[in-house]
Amino acid sequence: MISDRQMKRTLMIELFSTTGLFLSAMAQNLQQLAAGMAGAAVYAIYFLWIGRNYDIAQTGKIRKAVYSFRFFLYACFLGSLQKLLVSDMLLYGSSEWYVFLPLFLLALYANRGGREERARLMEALFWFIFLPLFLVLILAVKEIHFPFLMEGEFRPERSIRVFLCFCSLEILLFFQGKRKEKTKALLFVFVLNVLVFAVTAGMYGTKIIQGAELPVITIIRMIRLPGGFVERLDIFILSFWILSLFAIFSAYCFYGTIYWKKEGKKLPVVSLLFYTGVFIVTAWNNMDLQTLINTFQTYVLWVDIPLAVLLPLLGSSRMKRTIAVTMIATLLFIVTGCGPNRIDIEDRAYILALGVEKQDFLWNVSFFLPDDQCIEAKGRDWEEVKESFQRVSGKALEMGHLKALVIADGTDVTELEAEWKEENYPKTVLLFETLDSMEQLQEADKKDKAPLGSELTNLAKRNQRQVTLGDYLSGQKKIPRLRIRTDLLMIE
Amino acid sequence: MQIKTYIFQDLQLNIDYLNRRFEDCNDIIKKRFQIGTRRNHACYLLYTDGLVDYVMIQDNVIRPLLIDPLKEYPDSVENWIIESADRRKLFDMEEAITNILAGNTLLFFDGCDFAIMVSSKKFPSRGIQTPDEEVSIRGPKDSFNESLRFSTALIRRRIRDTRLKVEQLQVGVRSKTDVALMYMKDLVRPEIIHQIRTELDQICVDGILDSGMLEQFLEKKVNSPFPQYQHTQRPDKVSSGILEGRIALVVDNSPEVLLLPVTWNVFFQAGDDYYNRWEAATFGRLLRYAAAMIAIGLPGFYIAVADFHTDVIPTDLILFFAKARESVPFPVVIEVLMMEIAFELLREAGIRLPGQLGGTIGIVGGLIVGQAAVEAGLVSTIVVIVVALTAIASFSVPSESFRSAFRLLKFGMIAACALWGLYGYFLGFLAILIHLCSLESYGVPYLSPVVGGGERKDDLVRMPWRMLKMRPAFTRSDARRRQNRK
Repeated sequence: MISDRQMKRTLMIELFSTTGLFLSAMAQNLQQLAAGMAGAAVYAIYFLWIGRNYDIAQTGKIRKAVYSFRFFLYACFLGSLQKLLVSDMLLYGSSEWYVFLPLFLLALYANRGGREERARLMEALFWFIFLPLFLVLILAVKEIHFPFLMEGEFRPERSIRVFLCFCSLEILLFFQGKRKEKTKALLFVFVLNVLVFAVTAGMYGTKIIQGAELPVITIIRMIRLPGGFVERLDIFILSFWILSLFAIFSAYCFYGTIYWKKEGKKLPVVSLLFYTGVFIVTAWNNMDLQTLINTFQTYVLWVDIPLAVLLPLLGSSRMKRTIAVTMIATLLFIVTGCGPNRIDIEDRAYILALGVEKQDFLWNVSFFLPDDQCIEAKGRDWEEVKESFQRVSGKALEMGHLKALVIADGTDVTELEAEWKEENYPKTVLLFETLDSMEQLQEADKKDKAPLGSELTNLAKRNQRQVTLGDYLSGQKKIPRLRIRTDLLMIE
Repeated sequence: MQIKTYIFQDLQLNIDYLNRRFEDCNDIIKKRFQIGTRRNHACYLLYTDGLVDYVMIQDNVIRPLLIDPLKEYPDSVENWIIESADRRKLFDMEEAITNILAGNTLLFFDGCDFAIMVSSKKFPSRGIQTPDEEVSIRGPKDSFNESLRFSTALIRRRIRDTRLKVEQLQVGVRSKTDVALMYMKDLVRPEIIHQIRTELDQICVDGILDSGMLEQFLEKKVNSPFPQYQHTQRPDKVSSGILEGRIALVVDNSPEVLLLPVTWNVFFQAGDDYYNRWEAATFGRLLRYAAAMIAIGLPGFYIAVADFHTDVIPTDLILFFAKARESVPFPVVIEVLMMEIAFELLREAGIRLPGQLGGTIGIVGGLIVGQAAVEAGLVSTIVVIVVALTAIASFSVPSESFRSAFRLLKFGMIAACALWGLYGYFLGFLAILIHLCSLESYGVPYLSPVVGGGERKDDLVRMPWRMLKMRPAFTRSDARRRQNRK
C-alpha cells in the first residue's frame, strides 16, 4: 500500500516531467496555452471519472498487451530524449548507448522492488526535482515582461500541441488513492506549468523559444546564480531535470510490465522482452531531437490519445549476472573508444574572450587565453577556425569559460549564429563591437593585469551595458561599441 | 540438538556421566565430599574456574552444608541451608551442564534426582569505562562493557519501570551466548518483538562472539553497505531508544548493544544532541548531513569537474586547479584514487597500531609524506585538499558502521564520475537513493520520516524538547504521545 502523500508526489513528478519540458515550445501566448490546458483538464477529469470503476489488472490479455506496447513506445521516446539531452549537453562526443546504459540499469533497479519502493523513491525525489526548479523560477521571475505573454493571435493547432504535452495524464488510472489527492497533484502540475511558461516566454518573448526544441533548457542556460561560486548553473539544473525524466521513463517501464508479473517469478518473459526492446530501440536509434519530438507528437495525436480514451471504454541471481555482463561490456566499449572525450583539467585551453573579424571571405578569430596569451586562427568556416587553433595549441579548446565576444565593426555574424546557438556556448557571454583591429585588442590585453575576458566583463558592468549572447539571439541587435585609446579599453 | 538427559537418583551415575562430559576440561572444578555434621550424605559440586565468586561458594554454600546436621534431608538442602536467594532446582542434565559453563555452581546430592543451581557468577571484567567510539562533550560518560549483566544494569538504572522487560535467550549451539532483549512492553510494536524472537530462534551457528556477528545474522539485505542495526556503547542512547519504542539487543561478551528498528536519521544523531540546546544540536546535525554528502561525493565531483565539466567552476579557480596539476604525470582519476587509497592505508595503520604510535602515523603519513608527494609532483595540492576534506567529513558522522558505508560508496562514485562526469555523479546519488528507498527495518522505511511520514521534529532539525511531544514512527501507534503538558 502506498500512502496518499506518496501517490500525490509520484503523480506530480510523473505528470510534470514531460509537460514542463515541452509546453513552452508549443504555445506562443497565454490564449493558446489556456485553451490547450483547458482540453488537458477535461482529459484529466475523464481519467479521474473512468478510474473509479476501471482496473487495468482486471482487463483481458489483448488490452494489457496494447497498454504495454503503448508504454513501450513512451519509454523508448523518453529514453531517447534523455539520451539526446545528456549527449548534447553533458557528455559531448560519447556514444549514445553508453549514455543511456546507466539510466536503463537504474530504471531496472528502481522498478524491481514494486509499487511501494517506487512510491518511496518518488517521495524522496520530490524536493530534489522541484527545489532547483523553484530556484530557477525565483531567479527568473523578476525578468518577466508580461506583454510578451500576450503577443500573437490565437491558433488552435498550437493549443492542440499544448494539449498533447499532457498525454501522460493517463497515469492517473494506475493509482487507486483518493480523488482529492489526485486533484491536488493535478492542480500543482497545471499551476507549475503556467509558471514555467510565464518565465520562458516572458523573459525573452517567444522569438527565442520558437527556434528551440526544449525552451526550458534554453532559458535555464541564460540564468546566473548570484554569488559567483558556480559558473554555469544550467548543468546542475539539467541534471535535476534528468532525475525527473528518469522518474517518468522508469514509470512507463514499470506500468508497461507490472500487469504481467506472476507470483514467485522475478522477471516474466514480457518484462524481459519489454526491457530488452527499450534498450535496443533507445540506444541504437539515430533520430535527432527535432525528428524525435515531431514523430512522437504525430503518433500521440493520431494513435495514442484515441487509444488512451477508448481502451477503458472497451471492456534474481540471473538478473545480477545480466547486470554484471552489461557492466563488463560497458567497460570494454570504453576501452574501445565509446566513452566520452575525457580531457584532464590542465590539458584544456580556457578561452576567456574571442575576437572575430572577416577578411577576404576568411574568418580571422583571436582566442584570448589567460596569462595574456592570444592565438590567432583563420578558416573559411568555424570548423576550419577550430582546426587551425588546434594546430597551434597543444591543448583542447574549452569554450565553457568564455566571457566576452568582440566582433569587428561591419562583420556580418549571421553565419556564426548557428554555432552560437549550440549548447556548448554559455548564453551569458557578453557581446561587443569594435572599430579597432584585433592587434590593438591584443596589445590592450597585454597591458591589462586581468585577462581580457574579465576586464571586458567588469567594463560592461561598470558602464551598465551588458548585452549577452542570449539577448542577441532573442532579437536585441544593439551591441555596445568598444574603443581602444592608448591601450585602454572603453565603451562608447 | 542435544538429547534431554534426566538427572539420576544415584549420585555415582551422575558423577560418571559428568566426568565423561567434562573429560579433559581442566578448568572445571569437580569435588565429591560428605556433608552434614555426621558426614552421612554425599554431595558433588561443580563450577568453572575463573567464572565464579569463590568466597561466596565457600561461605554460603560449602560451609553451611558441612556444619548443618541435615535432619530433614533432602528438603533442608533444597530449601534453607544454602544461603543464596538466586538458586534453582534443575532436573535436566543438559541444563545443569550449561549452567556450570555459564559460571553457576551445581550441587548434586546422593539419592536426589535433581541438582541445585546456585548463582555464583563473577566474570573477569573491564569495569565501566568511557565510550571511546562515541565521545560526547555533554552528557553521561559511562559505557557498556563485555558483561551482559553490567550492560542490562546500566539500562535498568536509567529506566526504573516494571514495563521495561528483559528477556534472556541463548544463541549459538556451542557458545550458548546470552542475549537479552530489552523493550518497553507498552511502547514496542508487538509484531517486531515477535519477529525478532523468531529470527533469534532460527539462528543455528556454532557461536556468536560479538553483537557484530549477531547483526550480520539478522540482516535482511546482506549486500547493502548500509547498517541495518544501530550499535552503540552508550547506555543513555540505548535507554533513549527504548523509550521511543525500540528494542535493545544486549549480547554477552560484547561492549556494544544493538538497537532496532533503525532509520537513516539515527546514524546522524550524536550522543549529546539531546543534552545541548536545540539550535546547537540542529546546527551539528545539518553539518553532519552535509558532511555525509561530501564524504561520498567530493572526490567524484572533483573528477567530474576536472575531466568533463570545467565550465561549472569559476574561471579563476579552474585556472588555479589547472596550474596546480601541471607537473602531475597521472590522469586526475588515478591521482585521486592514489591519494584515497593512501589515506585508507594510513587510517588502517593508525587503527592497528597502539594508541600513541597511531597518532605518529597520522603525522608521518598526513604531513610529511603528503608534503613530499606534492613537492615530488606525484599529486597536486588540490587533490590533497579534496582527500583531506573528504576524510574530515567522513569522521564527522557519529556512527562507525555508517562511515564505512560512505567509504565504500565514495569509490563507487569515483568510478561513476570517471565514466560519466557530472551525469555519473547525479546518477550515482540516484542509485544510492533508490537503494535506500528499498531498505526497511522491521516495517519502518529506512528513510523515514522523509519517506513514509512520521514525526518530523527530530529529523534534520532537532526541535526544542518541549515540542517533541510525539515519539517517532518506531513506537506502536497507540502510544505515540510522550509528553503531556501539566
